[in-house]
Amino acid sequence: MSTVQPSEVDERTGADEQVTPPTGVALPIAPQGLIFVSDAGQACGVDSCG
Amino acid sequence: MSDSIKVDIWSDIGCPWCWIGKHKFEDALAVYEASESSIPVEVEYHSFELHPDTPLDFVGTELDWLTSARGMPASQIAANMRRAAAIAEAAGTVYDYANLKHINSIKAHQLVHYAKARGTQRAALDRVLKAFYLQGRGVEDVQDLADLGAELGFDRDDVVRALEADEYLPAVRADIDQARALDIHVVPFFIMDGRYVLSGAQESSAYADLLTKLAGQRVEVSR
Repeated sequence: MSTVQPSEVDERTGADEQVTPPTGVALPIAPQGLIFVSDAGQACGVDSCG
Repeated sequence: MSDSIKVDIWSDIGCPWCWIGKHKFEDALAVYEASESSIPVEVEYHSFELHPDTPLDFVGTELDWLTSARGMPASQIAANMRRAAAIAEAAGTVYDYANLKHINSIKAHQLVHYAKARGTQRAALDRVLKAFYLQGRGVEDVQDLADLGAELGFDRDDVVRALEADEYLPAVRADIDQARALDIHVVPFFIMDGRYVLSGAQESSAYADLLTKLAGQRVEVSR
């Protein structure tokens, strides 16, 4: 996954549809709609933590 | 473009990096909100289940679970947990991995959604996490969770009713379904402004920097 700075991105990419969660904030429905600023954090998955 | 910055966070109760990441994010948020150039931030937490297959009657620690159910080497898990404990301490909190019970978090998530429907999601999540990490409580039994709900000011009997009826299970499932749609496999997972991702527990500066940049974009657009 690529990492970019927000200032480098002008338009939402990837997702051409939106879903509206109960709070009314639109999120992309596909991962292509997300822009990874950093995925370097420590996290837990199903099989591991850290 | 909204006047506020929305932050969506997926996390699980028994996930130490979610606990640590929440501390680091909230530290960053406090610093950001104290700055003159800040604009309002709206935070919404979302449920995620790392171990939905955990039996409700499982008795054991996280180490027990990962070795018995996942087949992971105990030495590797223990090393990861020691590292997490050290980072938690540096972040100003505690991760007592040797004594924490491994839980099925589905009911705890439902309590958080119960509170969310009443406008107090963050307080409920804070209370559940403190009960689990700082007080060693299991936070999976309906009666224990109802006690926490009562502490939060809710009608205890109504919390019991809602949890026993799984009233907020669809809301929990909706969060998890949305995570699946977004290809989220690890937590914590932060999405700011509906698209910018910080995955995993990052340094506080990473959250603060992104908030500051997004606020800066708002200022530029408004000129």
